[in-house]
Amino acid sequence: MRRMLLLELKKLSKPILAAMAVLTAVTCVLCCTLFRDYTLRYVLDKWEIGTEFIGLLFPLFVTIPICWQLYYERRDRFIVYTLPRVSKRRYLTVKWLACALSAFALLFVPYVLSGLSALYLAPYSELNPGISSEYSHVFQSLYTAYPLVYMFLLSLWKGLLGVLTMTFGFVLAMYSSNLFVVLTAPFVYLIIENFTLSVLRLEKYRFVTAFEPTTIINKNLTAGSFFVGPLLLCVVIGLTALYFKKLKGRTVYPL
Amino acid sequence: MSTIIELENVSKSFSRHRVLDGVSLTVEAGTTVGVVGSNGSGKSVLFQIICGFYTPDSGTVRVRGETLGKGRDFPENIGVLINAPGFIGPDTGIQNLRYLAAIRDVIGDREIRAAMRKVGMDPEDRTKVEHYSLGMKQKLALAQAIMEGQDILILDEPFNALDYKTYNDVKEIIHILQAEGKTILLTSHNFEDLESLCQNIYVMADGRLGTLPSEEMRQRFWG
Repeated sequence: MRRMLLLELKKLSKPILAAMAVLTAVTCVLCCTLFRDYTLRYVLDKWEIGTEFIGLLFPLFVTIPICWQLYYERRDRFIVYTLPRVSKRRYLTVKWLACALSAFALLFVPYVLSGLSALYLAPYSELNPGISSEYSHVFQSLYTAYPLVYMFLLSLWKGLLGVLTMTFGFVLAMYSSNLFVVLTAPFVYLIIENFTLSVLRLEKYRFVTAFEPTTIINKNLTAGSFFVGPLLLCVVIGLTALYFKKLKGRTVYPL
Repeated sequence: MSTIIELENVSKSFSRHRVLDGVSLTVEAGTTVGVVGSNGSGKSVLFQIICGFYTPDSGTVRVRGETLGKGRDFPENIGVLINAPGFIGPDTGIQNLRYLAAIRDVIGDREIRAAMRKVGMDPEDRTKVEHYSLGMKQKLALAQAIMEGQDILILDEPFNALDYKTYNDVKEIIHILQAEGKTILLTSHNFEDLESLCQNIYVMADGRLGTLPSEEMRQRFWG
């Protein structure tokens, strides 16, 4: 199991390391520069400003460098040659595990490193914590008193949501014959879900809210804001697999 | 000689279409057995059932005395060449073989290179598989089927769409494997492909397996 996992990670290593390096460099630079036009209350505001763009594009970051591989292994029928060597369940489990670790690292590493840049490398900027008496922030005491812990925990959570988003692409790669659908469907789904729930005045349950809790006013956040969006995505992933397997009669191994 | 593969009354249907209908087959170790039949006759499904890719609806499949499906999904240590071989296009031949070899991790680079040389390929060739001809892909597929020292080889249509030279190369490789004592199962549309290679030839038609076709049957199926 460990050997196979290392092999799968090796197969993904080039695109993952390249994407991670680019994303880390961009977020670090933005965290150290973008805040200049803003009024800062706390030091971690620099991190929130610099990483804001990831909240919109992260479904692309966690699917494009990862899910293409399974798609090509199926399309080129390479996956069939793994069959006499390892069972389907074992191979796909290991493959998902490698993709999950990659997706997690792809978000966690840039978030953490850019957070450290914002905290320790960014140029000094005057902070105005008392500028508004109505100020509130998600997990405010942690955010203000222990920014390092807050940054680390939120990065961890975002990494896990990245894994869930990648899983949607992974399931599509297992059944779909269209690479464009495989790589963009998670992104398109989140845009549609975002739009639909916003129209229904249910912004607090969007997946994006769970990923970036500061996108809505803090008083509207509930515990459900962190779980409803991800649970909805789990249901969509399950229905997608069911649709391809039962209605379309597709198989993962193209014999 | 001992029996290495045994099928008893195996049947398989897809969407109510019966592809295999009570097929029984016994293969002795070290022999070469051919199955000939037209497209859609069930040859590939028969081989895929032996490989454990499909589970039969009824009947039993035993490889080296072990029954498939009873805690075993696929037979240990068999080499498989599927119809229309596929590999990861942007990688080289040796990289593809390394990926496959690493799954079981029983061989190293030396054995991979030796298998490639055995089928007439250059392990140092940096050409990506997506630029390979069909014949080269077929040879690479043969290399992956033998590189781990597999003693049973299931070769589905190994001569399909090959030019004359590659056809002869593949035939020569099979002769070498026979001399090494491998048990080989082959399929082909052409009786002539198998005639010079196999000790036993079976004919497959409408999901049923018959013994060596008579002259009359040969005329009927292949003119």
